[in-house]
Amino acid sequence: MSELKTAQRELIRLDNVGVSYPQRQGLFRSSEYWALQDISFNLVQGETIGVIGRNGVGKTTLLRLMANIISPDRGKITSEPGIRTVLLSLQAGFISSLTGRQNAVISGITLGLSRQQIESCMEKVVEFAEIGDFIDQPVATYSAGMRARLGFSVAMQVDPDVLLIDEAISVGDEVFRKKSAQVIRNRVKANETTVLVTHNAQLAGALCSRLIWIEEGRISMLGDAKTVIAAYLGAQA
Amino acid sequence: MKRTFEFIWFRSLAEIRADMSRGFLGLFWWIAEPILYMAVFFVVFGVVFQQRGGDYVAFLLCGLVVWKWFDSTTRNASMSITHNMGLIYQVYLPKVVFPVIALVISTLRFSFVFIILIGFLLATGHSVSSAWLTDLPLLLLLQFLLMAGIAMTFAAIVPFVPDLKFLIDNGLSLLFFLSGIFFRLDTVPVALRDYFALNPVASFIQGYRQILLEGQSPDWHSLLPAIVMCACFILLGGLLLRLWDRAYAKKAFL
Repeated sequence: MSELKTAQRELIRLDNVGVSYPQRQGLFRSSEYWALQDISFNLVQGETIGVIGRNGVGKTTLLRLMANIISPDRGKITSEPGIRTVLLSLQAGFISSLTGRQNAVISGITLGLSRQQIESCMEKVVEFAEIGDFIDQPVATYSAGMRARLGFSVAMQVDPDVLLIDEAISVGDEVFRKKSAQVIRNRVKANETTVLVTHNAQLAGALCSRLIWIEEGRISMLGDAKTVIAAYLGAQA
Repeated sequence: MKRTFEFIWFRSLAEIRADMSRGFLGLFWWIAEPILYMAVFFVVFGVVFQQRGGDYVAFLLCGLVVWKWFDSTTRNASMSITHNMGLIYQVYLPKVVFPVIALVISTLRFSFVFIILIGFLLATGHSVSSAWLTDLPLLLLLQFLLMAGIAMTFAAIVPFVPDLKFLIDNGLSLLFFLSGIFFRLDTVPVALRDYFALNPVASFIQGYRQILLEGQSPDWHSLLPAIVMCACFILLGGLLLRLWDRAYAKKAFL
């Protein structure tokens, strides 16, 4: 009975949500730019939903909205009380003159872990980041790849109810792309809820059950992955 | 709630540690810098100009130590949200944490310097009076709360009106000369005294001197404007930060 109930648990629901940004036009004049309009969908426990669309159509805004970093200007978002929604952020709160270990603690606390939690999984962090003895060196001495790996492995310890991943942050970073794809695969297997923003239709098709295609701040199509990808690629051609 | 406190505390410690690790003699400079700052004034006014007898140095240091606490809190806190925009785009944190972290850092630093000041006073023949134990903590708390209010208010507004930073910088310079760091408030021309009485920093400095140098209770009546401003700033700052909590992540910073 409870199995049935959890299978359909709705974690987050968006109803006609709109987000506007102020645009300055003069000293005292400003106008509104609507980055998202009329967005409605729900996120069910255990599903992996993909958000696709070209650059600048509001995908990142949608993630920030779901992560509760910004609030909607129209419509409303309801999430199940007590659930933790986290935007996968690399190196959140890193201070480059501190060591990798110190930064892992700070970053973990910033992302919502307690000090005990992050310290107890420190070994896992070091191992997953593959940086070995560098963990006790200042992060300023790290290569970009090492920084990204450390940031990623800290973020992985958070294990939220809903994980939001913005693939745009992986630009030019092969390591991040591979590891994030792996993490999402693991989450799909483990029936954990994930939202993936990408402009890589192939990746989205391989990982997600449902897709949302956003065009100019509005949902252009919402449905099962195959149908949406066919339409999306058709429109691009 | 507990998590927020934990974040504030660890972030403050991490920033202090980062501050220290930048210099070659990190910890040393962290404490020595404010002492050198005081030494400059000691040399200029105590040694070069030989102002008004021996106790002028103690008089001056009382004012400077307290001023430095106020000045560094206001400066750092007013830029705290602006400087943490990278983080604000990534994670939701109640924005009040940023000015509070600035306040915690400057207060930890101040407490070291304040202990050194107390040591200096004891070494130069001042003795502990009952006011040190009763009035001093109250006065410190009042100043702390006023700074918390100012820190929150400026931190909330500066990201939207970055130009305010210039006003704050110059306002602090003006306040530095008008807060009675170099002179006694009763040497101010009578016509101007009412205006000086409205400056909370001047009243604080006068209060600390009454306690530490004269061993008396401060004139709490003269601290009334400071108490009122304290309440106003805390309310205003708390309100603005709550109102704009999710507005900062929408702003594009140039």
